Amino acid sequence: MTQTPEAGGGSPLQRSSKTMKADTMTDWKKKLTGICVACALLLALAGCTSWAPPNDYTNMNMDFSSIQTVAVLPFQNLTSDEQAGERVRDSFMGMLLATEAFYVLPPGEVARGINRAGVRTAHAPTADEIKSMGKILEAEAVITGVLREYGPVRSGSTEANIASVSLSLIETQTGTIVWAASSTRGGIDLKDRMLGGGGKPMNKVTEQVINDLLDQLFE
Amino acid sequence: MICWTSFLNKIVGMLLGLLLLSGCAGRGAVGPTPLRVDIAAIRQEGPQVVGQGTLRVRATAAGATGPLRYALLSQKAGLTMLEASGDQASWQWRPKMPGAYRLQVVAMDGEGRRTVSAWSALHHFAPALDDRTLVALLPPDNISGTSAPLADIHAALRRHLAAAGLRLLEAERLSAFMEKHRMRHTGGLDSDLARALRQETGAEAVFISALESWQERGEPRVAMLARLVLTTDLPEIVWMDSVGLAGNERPGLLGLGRVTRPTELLNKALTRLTGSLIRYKAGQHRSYRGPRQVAGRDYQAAEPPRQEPGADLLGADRRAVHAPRSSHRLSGFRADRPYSVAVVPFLNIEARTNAGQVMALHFVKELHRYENIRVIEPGVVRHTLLKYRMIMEAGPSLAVSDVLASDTILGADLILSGKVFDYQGETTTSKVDFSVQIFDGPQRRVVWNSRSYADGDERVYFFDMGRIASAHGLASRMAGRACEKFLQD
Repeated sequence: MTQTPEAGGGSPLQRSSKTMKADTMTDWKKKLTGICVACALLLALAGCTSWAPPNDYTNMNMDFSSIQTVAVLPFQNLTSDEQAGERVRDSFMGMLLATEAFYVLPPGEVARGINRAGVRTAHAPTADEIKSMGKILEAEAVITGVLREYGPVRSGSTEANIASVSLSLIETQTGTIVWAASSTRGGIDLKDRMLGGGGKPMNKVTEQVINDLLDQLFE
Repeated sequence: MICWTSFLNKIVGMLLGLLLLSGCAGRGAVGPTPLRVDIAAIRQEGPQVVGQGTLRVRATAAGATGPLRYALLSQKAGLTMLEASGDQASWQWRPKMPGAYRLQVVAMDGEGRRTVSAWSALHHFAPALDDRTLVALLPPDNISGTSAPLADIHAALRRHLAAAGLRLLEAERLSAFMEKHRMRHTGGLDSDLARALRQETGAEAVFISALESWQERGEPRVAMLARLVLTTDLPEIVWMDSVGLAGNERPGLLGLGRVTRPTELLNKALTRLTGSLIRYKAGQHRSYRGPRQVAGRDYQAAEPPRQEPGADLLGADRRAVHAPRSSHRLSGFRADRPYSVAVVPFLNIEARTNAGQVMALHFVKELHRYENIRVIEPGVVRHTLLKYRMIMEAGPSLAVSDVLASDTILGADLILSGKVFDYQGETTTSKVDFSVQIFDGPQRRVVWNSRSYADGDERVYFFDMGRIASAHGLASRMAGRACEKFLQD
């Protein structure tokens, strides 16, 4: 009478192969747990690195509801594109007006106020000049801005558009800054490095920067 | 025996009693007298021609409690539009476009009761141009930023207009007039010159054209904007259209459709332009009376929207590509009211020479299509700005807007201005980028702000289908979409 492998639990060779399989499974389980723990650690680390101090300032004593009319002054342009400041300012004025939180004075009227107040550097007025402009324009606040980056950036063979803007809201009664924020959007990300593509159009990046700044203003 | 006398007395008494009772019941049911409004008189003044004749309408109301407010409505092809409103019961009305009109008056009293009159009889208004109209053809204004054979273009335009049946003022007489009045700017017409032209030459209208782009080398390109302006005391635009063609626009199979000679392209462009003028002369020019919402009823556009050439193969809405990317209209702005609009040249930020002027003309053209919008002739706006020495380094200020909105100067309800950031399409892919701002003159507030940008290759996937070769085509569509969005309900 012959014994079937099933009945007798199999040959020693088969048994050893089963044991080996079980060992391999245990190893994999351990490895998987290790990988999960490593991933969790990485995520936790990534979470820690993504934290950054807030890049905006808000004067907590300021009653922002008292501001009804604002004048957006020409932006200081630190880029090589001569008209970039005007492009970003125009987009910002339109989007700020669309929030209906403030009435934004038209640029021609702002230019008249700058001339009448005798402001020497329109993008960086003194406190006295701001007070004077506020009276002429009947505006409760002015917004000054600095365009730090605007245009394509290159890294190796990859190119993408970037925009970086910082803004300050200055009360015209006292000439003090009541809110300030900055934002940078666009640039080369991992997807651009891996797949190319050239990033987003400049107008889109500008809109993202402005949206970010408006979020910071109204949060 | 019946006593007939007493019986009759009883009957009469009963009848009298019933009458008395019914009288009492009637007195009890008497309410306020119903409000009623009628068109008392419509008097024609001048010929029934657009820009020349008017209708003097007078309404009478009865049964009103408190002060009355009136509104004058017009109806053409079944579409109603608000023409005027206020506390005056008489109007001097003239239509902007030719056609057959009915008028109706709406009245509302102090208690908020509202009533409408019956529609008037039809009043036909003919186009301002017919075979007898004497037209002065001004030399084209070159805003292309390049040198162009203006004398040849002028001569070709003259040929085409004469072939279209226009009675043109002799070139020598016009030259003498221009010399006498030192008229150098041919891109517009102010009130003084219009009056002088009519009195001295008899010209009833002026054909003004602007050469937007001209390219002879490589692929030829031509783009023109033209308008017909009446030489009335306040010059009035009665027709405006534009054309923009590129030699390689429709190359077709094996490039057989390619146009290589500039003169051929110019002739093609002028044929299209004069074709539009002929349609106006025949009373078939397209205008928009809607979409409007008047007296609580919805009205559809008089004409279907213009067909976009080059349908998107993936079914995407190509109109959305040319719509403003961001826009804001002041809440409470009523788009269905009649407005007079002054369009000031746009600020040229980084675009090609005269791009600001070109963009302003595109907006004049697109706004002119709306029957509730009266666009002030750009020559009149220019003259006013020069007269009051209004220099706009950064766009119009409130001081400029006050001048343009003043009833004694221009009386503009809205002032449209903007900035052009990109206007290219001469050699490379067409690309246009601009922003628009509209002020409400009397209110001294910005009522509209929008930013539009697009390029001619957007959403073009196969064989250049749907590509817009010229900046003209792109700008025209983008301006059209911006106006549409501004004037939508």
